[in-house]
Amino acid sequence: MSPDGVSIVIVSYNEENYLPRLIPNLRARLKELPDDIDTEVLLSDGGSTDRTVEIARASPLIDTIVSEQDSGVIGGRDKGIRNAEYDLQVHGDADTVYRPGWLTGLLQPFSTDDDTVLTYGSVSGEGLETGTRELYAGLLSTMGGHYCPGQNRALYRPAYKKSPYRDVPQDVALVTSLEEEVHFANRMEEHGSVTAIPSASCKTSGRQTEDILGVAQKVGGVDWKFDPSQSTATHSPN
Amino acid sequence: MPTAKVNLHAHESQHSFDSNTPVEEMAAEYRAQGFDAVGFVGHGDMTTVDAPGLITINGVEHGTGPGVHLVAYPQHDFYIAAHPRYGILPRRAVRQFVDLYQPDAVEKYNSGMGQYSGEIATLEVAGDDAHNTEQVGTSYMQVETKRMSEDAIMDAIKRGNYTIHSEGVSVSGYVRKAIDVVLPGD
Repeated sequence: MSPDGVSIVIVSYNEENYLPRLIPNLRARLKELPDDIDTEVLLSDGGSTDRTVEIARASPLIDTIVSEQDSGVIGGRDKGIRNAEYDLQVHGDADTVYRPGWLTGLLQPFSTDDDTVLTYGSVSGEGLETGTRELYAGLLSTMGGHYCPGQNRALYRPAYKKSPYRDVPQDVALVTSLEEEVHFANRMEEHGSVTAIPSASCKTSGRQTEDILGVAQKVGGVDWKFDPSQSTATHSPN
Repeated sequence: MPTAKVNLHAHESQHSFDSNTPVEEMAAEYRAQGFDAVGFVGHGDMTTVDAPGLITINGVEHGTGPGVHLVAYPQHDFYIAAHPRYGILPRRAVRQFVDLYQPDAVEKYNSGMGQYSGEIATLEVAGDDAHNTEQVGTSYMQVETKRMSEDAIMDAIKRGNYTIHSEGVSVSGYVRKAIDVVLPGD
């Protein structure tokens, strides 16, 4: 498949503090793409109540904004996938920054292997999350599995439609993480090639860990629960 | 064409943990020193400030590791590499910052101190990075603007229609910068 266009889908909920960091970072990464590839940057927002949408509207980088309440990070990604202009999509998070070669690295297998349906890169955590994600990925890799970070992947939409995200309690961190980062990649492998691109790397905020440990109050993103019994079917991020 | 005295890097206590001076006091000092416009940024926290008699521009300063920070005005699509202090920071750290963000501008002066600014961005700007009233006015810009409005001033800066100035280092600012060099984060 020779892509003529790619959608960059960013999931957000109350990210007014992180979006200003992401925008110049994405701008730098998009410059690395060949001129003949059309791009769309789509913000899949969960109905932010801060200035996330206002900032996005002001930015010439962001082409499309879909802001409506959803069921959490997986719901936000699904909304982005379905509303994006192009079938070839790269997914990211607002509280993440992407290193040089990230975008081109994730997309390269789609140009050389028509069977490719999913690629994913590596993630390192900032602050108190330093090292934890590498450990997680290393353990899964040792067992022969995928650690496919939600904020660092490229997918082909027709394959996704055959194996969309499953309906899980989307405010329970462990359940969501297993669905998004492990089970989803395994299901996609039934439809084509899934390739890890370790050089396509990013670093993501340590806000969740800092919040758990009481070092800093979490701002933005999903309000995770860690006990599945506390989850509600009609959760909305808050 | 009017000339605006501008600083694009200031803090106040509501959005910056390391400032104990409220925006009202900061704004009063800026007005007293003849400033027309001030960009207030929070440490990892987008500001929402307004001050009578002063054009206030809201933004955020992100720590990206020790030393160099990103001052962001997303509503103007304008991003500044703040206090890179090249020569103290490893060259590799500055390159990594530039690779990540490709900022539009770099602070030639911060808190009155000269900063390394080559290779980082086309535009060189100046900001006092004041966290209290004693630090106000050490570095600033004189902007040739079509109108005395936030949009017109930012547009003029993006076009490079300004000069930059430095009027001495504040001792407290210097100490804080020295601490910034060794401490990561916001």
